[in-house]
Amino acid sequence: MSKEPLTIALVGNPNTGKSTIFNALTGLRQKIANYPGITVEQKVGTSIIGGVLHKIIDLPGAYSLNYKKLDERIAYETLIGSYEHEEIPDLALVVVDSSNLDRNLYLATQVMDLGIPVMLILNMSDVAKGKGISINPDLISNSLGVPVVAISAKNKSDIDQLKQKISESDLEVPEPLKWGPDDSLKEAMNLLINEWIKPYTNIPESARSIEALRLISEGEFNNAFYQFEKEEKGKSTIKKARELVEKGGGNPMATEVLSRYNFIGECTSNASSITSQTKASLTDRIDAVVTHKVAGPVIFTLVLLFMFQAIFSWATPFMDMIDLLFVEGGNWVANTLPEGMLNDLLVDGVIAGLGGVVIFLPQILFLFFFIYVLEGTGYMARAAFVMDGFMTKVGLHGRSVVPLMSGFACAIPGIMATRTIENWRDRIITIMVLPFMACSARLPVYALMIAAFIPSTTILGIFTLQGITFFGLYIFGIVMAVLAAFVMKRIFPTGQQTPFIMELPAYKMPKWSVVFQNTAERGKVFITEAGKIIVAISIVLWFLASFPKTEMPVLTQTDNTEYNSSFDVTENPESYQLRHSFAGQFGKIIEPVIEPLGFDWKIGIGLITSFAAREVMVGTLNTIYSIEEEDGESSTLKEKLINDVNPETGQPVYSIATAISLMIFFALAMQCMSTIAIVKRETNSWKWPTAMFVYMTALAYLSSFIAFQIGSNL
Amino acid sequence: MEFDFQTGVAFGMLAIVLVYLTNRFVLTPIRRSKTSPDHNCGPDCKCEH
Amino acid sequence: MAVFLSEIKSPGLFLVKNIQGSDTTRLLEMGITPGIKLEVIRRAPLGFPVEIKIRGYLLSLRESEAKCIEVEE
Repeated sequence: MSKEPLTIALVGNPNTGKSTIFNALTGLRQKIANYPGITVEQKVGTSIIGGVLHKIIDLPGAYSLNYKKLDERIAYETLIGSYEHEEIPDLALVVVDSSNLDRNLYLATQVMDLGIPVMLILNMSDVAKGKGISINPDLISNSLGVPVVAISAKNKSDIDQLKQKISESDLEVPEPLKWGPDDSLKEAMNLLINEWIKPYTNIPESARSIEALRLISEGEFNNAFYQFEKEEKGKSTIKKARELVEKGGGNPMATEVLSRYNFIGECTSNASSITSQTKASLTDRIDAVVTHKVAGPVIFTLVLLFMFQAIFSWATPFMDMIDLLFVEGGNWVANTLPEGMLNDLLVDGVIAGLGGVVIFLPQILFLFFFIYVLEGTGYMARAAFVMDGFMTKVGLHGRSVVPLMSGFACAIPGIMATRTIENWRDRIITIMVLPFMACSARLPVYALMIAAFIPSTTILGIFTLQGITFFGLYIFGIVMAVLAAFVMKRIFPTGQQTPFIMELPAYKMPKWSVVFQNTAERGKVFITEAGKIIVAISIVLWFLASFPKTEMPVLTQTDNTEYNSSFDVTENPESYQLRHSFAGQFGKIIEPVIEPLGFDWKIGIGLITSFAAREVMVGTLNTIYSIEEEDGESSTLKEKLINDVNPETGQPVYSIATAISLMIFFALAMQCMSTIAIVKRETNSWKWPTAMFVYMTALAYLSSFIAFQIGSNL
Repeated sequence: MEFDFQTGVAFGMLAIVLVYLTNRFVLTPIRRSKTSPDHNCGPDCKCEH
Repeated sequence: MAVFLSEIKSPGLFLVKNIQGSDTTRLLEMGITPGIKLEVIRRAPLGFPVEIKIRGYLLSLRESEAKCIEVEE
């Protein structure tokens, strides 16, 4: 019975309900962060169990400690205490899906070899019962030699029972290698441990045998994470160990796995029984439709279409509310604070800039809500299954679907998520085309342009032209990504297919607390990460647009022919100030370059500032137009854009051609410094981010040029 | 241009913002590129030593 | 008669005979071990991946993995 505070690690296969147990144990006492220097999410929390405050770590899901992915490596490293940011756990809770006992116990037998106390949690016992599987936890406990508790994580009393069991645990270390390696494998392990692992590596003692097994199976150690010496000696010893296994009639890649499964088979054959079921399960029936050759891709497209239509229309009332709030807030500050420079800065710089960003929070929350729901139900894996054939044809990967879909929210998490793609070439192609996916930072620009310039005509009863344009922009991004990947596949050819072993988890209702928590987390990140930069940039911009201070000369139609050609007599002083400010001058400098795309100097300023983050474009326009407007009242940016008139020609600045050209430019151009930074970090060289910037921006310029020239000559 | 209290605060904010932006986009990337991350994962998650 | 999983066109129940190839550890670890029953459920739209049921759960395999699995009816 333990009264000491413990570090408890939750470990298990993906889709075992590990997160649900973690949430149930920790409640709100948890924090989610990335592991330092890498992109695997780390969840740490605390839980009071039996009156003691314990630390709970939720390890990334893993199928095996013989890692094939970074997630699995982190789980392994943490468990053996080799991961420097986390101490070795005092207790490992292995979460097992009761309806899929054998494969889940494989990982459990590995964890039992690590010399730390283990407790087995048979989760989803209700699902197993529904599938006609009955398990006797006591028999499992006896044959494995570890305490076992059967629960359903949804059930609160079951969680109490789990807590009870943890507080009663005597923290006994299970007998290592209980699965019984055969003599030749044992001999090979001892050879490797004594001749190389023990003298020449810093692998902790308790992890030596599991590492020996890993090396015998892998035959190499070029992805080892620990320090070692005498590499040649290591290689030759591994070779010798493998030869020993072969001499004993085994296959070094298979012997360990088969022995473990034999042991598991013995444990489960008398402890669990399956009453045969004749009718197809719900999952089978759904899959028959959802993964159907024809219906599958159609359903996937419809799901995406529905998602984006919903994001666009359902978020509108919330966005209007936020818009109103910031307009009113700005007016209030303007009228409350004494007049002066700070007043102007707060209203036109800070509040206008921030308001232009917060307004898109509803859409981001809706998008992530849908992504997490699709993930939670198990549909995401089906989407990867259905799309993999198409994806491999164009040089991508079924696993690319999820990073690419994450790219709809933001390229940065998407690029990080490509780490699930084990093959380097597949991964680099996915990274290179991922920024074409319409990220949420483009949403503000798209939404603004569509709301202002695309009529809201209803089509087919439920869809509007605005919704369809919006959908079209997403499709455009996808098509460009596919084309680019297709070209890149030709540039970096490869002979063979890469492995792709993916579980299709049983359908279930998404765990709402997990969905809402993750969605809120994304929204928070967007506001705090993007928000800070945007407020900062808005302030700088306000200064750039307000200085140097110039007074509009008093002119008449007759006395100054030079000025007459450059501005209209109806121009107001604010507009004049902006045109002659630093920002205006800079916009003017780049105007000749962007003029063929239909952009004026105001958009030019926006293009420059949007390199900080695409949505800054809207903040910039907001600032520019708030400054330009006559004092007294605020109107929304949308109205200002529609009403903006070119002082030289008297024509509206924004035609439909300009709006489309701008949307295309935003769809294709690489104008996000955070993305460039993350690509540099993920690929470890400047080569890829540079190539990405050049090819994407060139493509954007060319496409916008064509679009505008065609559009304006129609 | 008159220099009053509000102008002072406004320029103070500008100074803070400029320091923040420099730190975020110039200094931090330089620092980060000098100290390699703990787990420097290259192609196929093979760690480079 | 033993055939490779990659050659099986229609759904059905099979027996795993052997796993071969250069990197078979993960397939074995996922529970595809000789002597176990394997059900071919369906193929994806363009032929691959193939969906199988093994040890009571569903798994998707590409052609390159399906080629490593020798099965018997």
